[in-house]
Amino acid sequence: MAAPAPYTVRFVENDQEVVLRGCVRPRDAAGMADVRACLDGAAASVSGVLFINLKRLRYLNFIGFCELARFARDTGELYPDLTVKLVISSVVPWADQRFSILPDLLPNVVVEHYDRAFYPGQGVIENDALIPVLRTQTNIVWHHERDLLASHGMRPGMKVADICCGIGDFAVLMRKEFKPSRLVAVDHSRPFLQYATQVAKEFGISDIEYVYGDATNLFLEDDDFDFVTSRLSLQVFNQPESILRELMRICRPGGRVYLTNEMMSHNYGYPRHETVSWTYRQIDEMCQALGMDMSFGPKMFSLLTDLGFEDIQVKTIAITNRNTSPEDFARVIESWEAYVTGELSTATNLSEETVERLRSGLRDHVYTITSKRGYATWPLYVASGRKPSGGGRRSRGEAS
Amino acid sequence: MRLALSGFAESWAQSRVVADYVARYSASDRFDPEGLATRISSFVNEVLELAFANHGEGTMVVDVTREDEAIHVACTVPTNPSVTAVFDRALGDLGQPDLLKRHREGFLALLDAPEPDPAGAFVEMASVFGLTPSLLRGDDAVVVSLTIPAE
Repeated sequence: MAAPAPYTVRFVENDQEVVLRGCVRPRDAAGMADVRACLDGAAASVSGVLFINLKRLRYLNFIGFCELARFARDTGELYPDLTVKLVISSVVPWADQRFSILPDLLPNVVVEHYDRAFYPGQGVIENDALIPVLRTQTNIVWHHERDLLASHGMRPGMKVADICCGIGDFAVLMRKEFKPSRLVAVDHSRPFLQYATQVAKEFGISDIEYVYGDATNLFLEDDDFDFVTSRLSLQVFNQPESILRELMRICRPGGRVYLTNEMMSHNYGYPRHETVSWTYRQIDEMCQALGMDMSFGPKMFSLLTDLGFEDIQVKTIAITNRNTSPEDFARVIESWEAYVTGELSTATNLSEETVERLRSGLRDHVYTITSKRGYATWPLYVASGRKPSGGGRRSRGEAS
Repeated sequence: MRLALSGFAESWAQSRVVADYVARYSASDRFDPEGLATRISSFVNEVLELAFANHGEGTMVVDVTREDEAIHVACTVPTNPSVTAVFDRALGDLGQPDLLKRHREGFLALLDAPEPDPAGAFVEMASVFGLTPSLLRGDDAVVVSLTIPAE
């Protein structure tokens, strides 16, 4: 019996999209005749734009590339009004350079970099200026989260994936506390991953697999991990459902997906509560302008429910200056100040006056944290759900 | 790694299997191992596909040397004069200037060629990916060497 092809190809009619995934390395054009037939059939049945989704096409040899180009050329001749849009991801390291030749040679071809379009705040959230912010946050959240993880089903020896791992410090702490049998940590920021790799090296850790990847198109197997975590990440993307579907895909039936997110507008400090509250509402709006939803925390339950997760648990971590070291808590807010009044304000073109108000509001929050009679909070929402044995609900056109 | 060509040439899929194995090994403990493995496998596979279709008799040797900054892969392929000529056509002309221009201007013509042009992949490798394979010719073997930056 012949081995199954190391790739899949399918046409999603509703989306006018051909999805080609895996490894396409034919010996000649005949070796990918099924791909060509699918593409030809799709081109004949659509108008406007035919999308060719290559986000998870990990390998394509030169012969295969020529056959794709041949299809695009022939389609341009047969259907002059049809645009062939190749959708690629920067996670596939050869894709950008290889496909960039085609639009110059074939006027009907457009190449879209999916992940540049998907992460509208990419330049802000993946910049290494954020590293001190992430470090200080993890320092104070971990003390609360360590016990919560166990109550959400985390156990020693599990196979764990930490998606959107940032600088990888949570993965290091999980490894130490739970000793997973395998721990894969994925992020879309090279500066973060470089930092994570360096820290792991300095700590003598060699068993965390840090991987550059796109959270909506992971190069990880279906139904593979016992526990999938994604912390403070769905809130910074404009399509959190796409990410959650992918987390669900890589989680094994019966395993759990674990999420944390914020409710930025509920950050609070008293006295000076008016300036503190204004400041976080303003930050919320700035983030919305960049496609983020920093008040996503309470919405997780609905999304987990909609996708068919079972046994959904939601809890809150109420970080206050009474249950957390005020010095550490203040350090987190101080690290936000630099980020908010720098990177974030620049990205959203804030006036000098507004930037100053933000700075003042964040300093007021620090004051309430460190004041003897002050009370300050930073609520975090924690949610997890069990993947059903049937695999959960799938969106229209999604692969089984 | 020593591979009897009689076995290697039994299945086209062997190129992929060997390229992936070499890539996984080479990238295993590097920064972004998945990304590096993808690049290594892609480049090595093109060399192995060329060897699959063009080789003499005997054993192919794949040598891998790992350094901090780069992975070196050298494939020694037994040849005869006609096979050496194919390797020459594919790899012997990559040091020329304006290789990118050659790739861009010649690409559409490749699509009409009755047989895949073995030079196409290597012109692209050198001009687009900046990775120029070297070819060493011996009496009864050629050595194709690749130096792939680790990041």
